[in-house]
Amino acid sequence: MKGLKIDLAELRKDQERNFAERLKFIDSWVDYIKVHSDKEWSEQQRMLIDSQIANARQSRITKEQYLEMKGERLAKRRA
Amino acid sequence: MEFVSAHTIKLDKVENELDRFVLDFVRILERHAKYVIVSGYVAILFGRNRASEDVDAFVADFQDFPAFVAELHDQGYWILNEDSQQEAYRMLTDGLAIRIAKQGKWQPNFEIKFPKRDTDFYSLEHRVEVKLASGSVLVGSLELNIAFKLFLGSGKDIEDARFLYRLLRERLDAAKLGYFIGQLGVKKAYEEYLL
Repeated sequence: MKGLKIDLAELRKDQERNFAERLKFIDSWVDYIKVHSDKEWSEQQRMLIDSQIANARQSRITKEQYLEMKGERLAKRRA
Repeated sequence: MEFVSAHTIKLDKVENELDRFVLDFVRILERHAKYVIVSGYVAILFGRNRASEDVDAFVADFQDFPAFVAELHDQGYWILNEDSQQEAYRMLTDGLAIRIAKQGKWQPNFEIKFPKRDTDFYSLEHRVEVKLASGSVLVGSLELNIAFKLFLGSGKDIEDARFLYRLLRERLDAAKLGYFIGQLGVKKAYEEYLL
């Protein structure tokens, strides 16, 4: 591919910024958990996790493809 | 969240699908073997806002592996990465993991291994019971879990460690955490990401 200019330093800065933002989000979520009842925070967690699991199940990958993605397959033990 | 004792925590949470999968599965597992859950699901159990495809557990051998597999099949589970019960057991003794999910599905799944390293045995010997409305789950030492997550070192691992540390720091055993941090050589990560 010709003419593609990648500024690695800029990409790394973005990466660091994103990570710092995720850490900040974790801190605010911890603060939320600390001042709300288990029922309140976990209902929000339930909605997120249940929808992520439902989405993952809709993917059409096969068991074999899933194991291959995990780098496992039956071949792992037979190699 | 109620700290009932040094080894028991009660969570009055609304169980999500992953929690229910874990609770249903450990009801079977605990009839056949001593187990402990470690790694990402521990953070999720305490409220980390992310899903996980796999739940990592160590099992201190099975009383009767064929009986365990028979009950798994009866209860609608399958071993994802091996059809033969004998080979599945061989995988475990070879230090590999077997993955168990609900029949016809591959996620979420339990990734079960026999303990190999001292840290694995420590987790099995220092379990914390987390009581939910519909059952209990046994997880490994929280201090070791946090230090080990820092040792693994991916973005997700560091986030899990930070979540557990920031949530539970008043309840953690500082000396124990310091010991694991030193042993695993993660002091720099601890200072950079957790404090």
